[in-house]
Amino acid sequence: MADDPQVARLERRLQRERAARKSAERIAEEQTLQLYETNRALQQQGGYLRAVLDNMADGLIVVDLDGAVTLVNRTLLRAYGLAQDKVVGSSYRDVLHRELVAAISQRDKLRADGEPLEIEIALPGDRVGLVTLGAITSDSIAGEPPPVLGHLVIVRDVTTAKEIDRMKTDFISNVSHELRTPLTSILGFTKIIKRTLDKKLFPLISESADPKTKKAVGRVEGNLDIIISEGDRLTTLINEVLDVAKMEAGSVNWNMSELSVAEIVERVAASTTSLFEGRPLELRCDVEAELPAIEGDRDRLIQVLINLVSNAAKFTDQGEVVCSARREGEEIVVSVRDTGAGIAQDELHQVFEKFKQVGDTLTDKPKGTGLGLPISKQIVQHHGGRIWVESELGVGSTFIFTLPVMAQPELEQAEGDRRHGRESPDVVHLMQRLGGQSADDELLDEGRRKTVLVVDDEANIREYLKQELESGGYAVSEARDGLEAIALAKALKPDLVILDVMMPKMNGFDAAAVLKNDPQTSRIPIMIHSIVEDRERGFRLGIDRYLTKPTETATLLSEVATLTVHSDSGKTILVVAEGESVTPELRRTLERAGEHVIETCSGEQCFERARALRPDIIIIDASVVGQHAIVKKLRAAKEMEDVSLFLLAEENGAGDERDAR
Amino acid sequence: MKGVVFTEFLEMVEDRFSPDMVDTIIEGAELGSGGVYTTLGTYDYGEMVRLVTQLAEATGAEVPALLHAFGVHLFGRFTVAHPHFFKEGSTAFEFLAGVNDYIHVEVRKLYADAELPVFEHDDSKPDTLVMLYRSSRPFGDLAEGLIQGCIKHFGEHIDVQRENLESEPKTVVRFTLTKKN
Repeated sequence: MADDPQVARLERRLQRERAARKSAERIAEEQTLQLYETNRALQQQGGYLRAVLDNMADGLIVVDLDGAVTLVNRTLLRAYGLAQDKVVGSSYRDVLHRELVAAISQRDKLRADGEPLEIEIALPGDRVGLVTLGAITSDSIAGEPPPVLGHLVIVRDVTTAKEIDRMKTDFISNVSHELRTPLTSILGFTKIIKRTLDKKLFPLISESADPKTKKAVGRVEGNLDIIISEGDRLTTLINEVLDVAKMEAGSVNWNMSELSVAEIVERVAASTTSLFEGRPLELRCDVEAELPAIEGDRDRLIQVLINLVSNAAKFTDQGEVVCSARREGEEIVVSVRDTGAGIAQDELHQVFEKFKQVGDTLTDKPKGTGLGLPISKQIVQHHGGRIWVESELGVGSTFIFTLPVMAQPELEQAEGDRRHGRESPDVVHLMQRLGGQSADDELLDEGRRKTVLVVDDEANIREYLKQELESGGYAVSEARDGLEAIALAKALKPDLVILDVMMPKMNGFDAAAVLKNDPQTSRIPIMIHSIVEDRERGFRLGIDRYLTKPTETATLLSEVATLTVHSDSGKTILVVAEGESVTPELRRTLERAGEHVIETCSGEQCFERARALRPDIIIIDASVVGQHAIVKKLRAAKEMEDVSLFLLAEENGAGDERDAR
Repeated sequence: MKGVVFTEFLEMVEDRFSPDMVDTIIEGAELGSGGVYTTLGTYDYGEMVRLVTQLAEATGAEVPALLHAFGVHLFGRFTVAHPHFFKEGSTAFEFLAGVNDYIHVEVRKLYADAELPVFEHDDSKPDTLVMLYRSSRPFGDLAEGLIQGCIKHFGEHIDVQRENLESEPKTVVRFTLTKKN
């Protein structure tokens, strides 16, 4: 049989198959071993990576596209007191703290190839966390965006960093405030010296002077001008440093209202005229007609545009500066283009950095603090806009910023009027009926000198104010702290109290509160003159003006004049309104007309307030339910016989406004 | 060369000719491995050359024609064994353009020691795909068979022009594929 070639062939084939099986078994064995080794190495590596992740100072969560948590590290579990097996595999919305959930759900805003998002959240135990949210992507196929596998969430405890940052900001803020006090004295006295020399001494000298003396006079004048202009520069610098500190600390009080960009451009053009006078440089404004309204802080936006226009003027020798505004989609685009030297491409990105001025700072004298543009950027960003610069060396630069158009396009007439600075008809009418008068119409009473009580713990400041006020024709009394101020105010009944805020024994705000709540002194106008900027608190206490040191002499005297003129004629007005619907506008108008004592209250409180305040006039807004019933009740009340009552009717109701007497 | 190529080759011979033909060519080729192949093993590519030469001698067919036929067969087996490489709606050009950067990358994950030929491609002209085959082995015919197998799988009408650019020490072949309207 074995000789049969067929059998021999089958035997060889069988041998081959056996050999193949053995070979396959050997390879399988080798590969199993290899697999085992690889597996062990992977486990070791996994354990190592796990240990690294668990020992990270930051919390870490990985969420897949369906929202399931696929990985979480020990730091995060500990911070939130969570158990690993409860978290992994569950939806992040079900198992994580709601602050984290809110942060992670913002992942929809992420783009696969975009920057990670940073979101500040509250951590357990009154701590502050910074969540960094990024997409996890795999290798991209050329030309296509990389596929997103999930999201990586890193939670960092930034409490200490925030605290240090706050301390830094506080320090800058305090130092800047403290610098203002001596600066007020330096600038104030220098201006007084200059005025005294100009008016009284120099005329005497120049009448009989030899050329040497005349030259000396010229030099003294020049030197004084330098002190004043450098003092002003220092004031600007301190204000800008304070601005930066406040913006970084997020403690800016934004006064948002409906605004017209055209009006802002107009204002800026008017206040920057002096920069273009006598130079071969022209300012041109090009504002598209019928721009929609925006919502913003008027003063802050004016600050941005003044900054851009004055920068353009500063760095342009000749040609033109064009300030334009136009609508592009849902944005208003404002730009300031100049024909100046331009900025090199590699320096463009630096212009919005703090304390950076492009160009060679050794050869080019810096012209400012280098803070104007960073501040502008912060302001524009707060308004939901963007700011950037386009520039070409030798051709010029264009600074551009955008502001979102206000949500509701149809404006009510009354709001439009307010936007354009016009009073609504009923208020105008009311003012006519009240016979309001402005400060400019009335001259100082020559017969009786008005008395101003100056309250400040700094003798230099008191002296400066005394000299300024006396030269303005006022009698001045002085107090060193809040307690002294109250005693003197009661005894002297001055026409005005000028109060500093930071004083020993009793601060200015407390003194103002006491004075405004004492019937003996409640009608004396109060002006806060301080380095502390807390206007809101001041006005809540009922103070009449708020000036921040250092103050321009002209501003100070004109404000003092306004307040003292009306201390005799100003009427006490009680405005009754629900909510804040009409009051701010009315308050402004009345204040402008010099009716300096204004109280507001709701319909419910009005009887009690009327009895306590004994106002001359009560104005009841249309928003108050049961206007007429209130009038009847007030009319019937004792000691209310002499009070004038006004009702404000609904919208545009000039004709309906009536004396309810 | 991976064992899977040998086992596929011998299976094709068994199917198209007979089990005896397999024995005949193995015995005639005097192989170092003794003709014992497993899919997982790696074997000298010279054994493939000798097996094909033996098959040519035994059947009277030309070596290039046999290699070409094996290429077409191999591609068909590939579509059965690895269906996940074939996306719905894709085309022969898309598949061939991805051989080097996609399929060979995957192959290396499974067989780290695999020595794979290089397939460069140029698809800059519309309706044309130029493929450059570079290998240290003389398997231009096998490559052509694989390309034809691919076209057959996708059921497209594509004309293939072949130019042998180099043969020693490396094989370089240019295939110009043009879609027929």
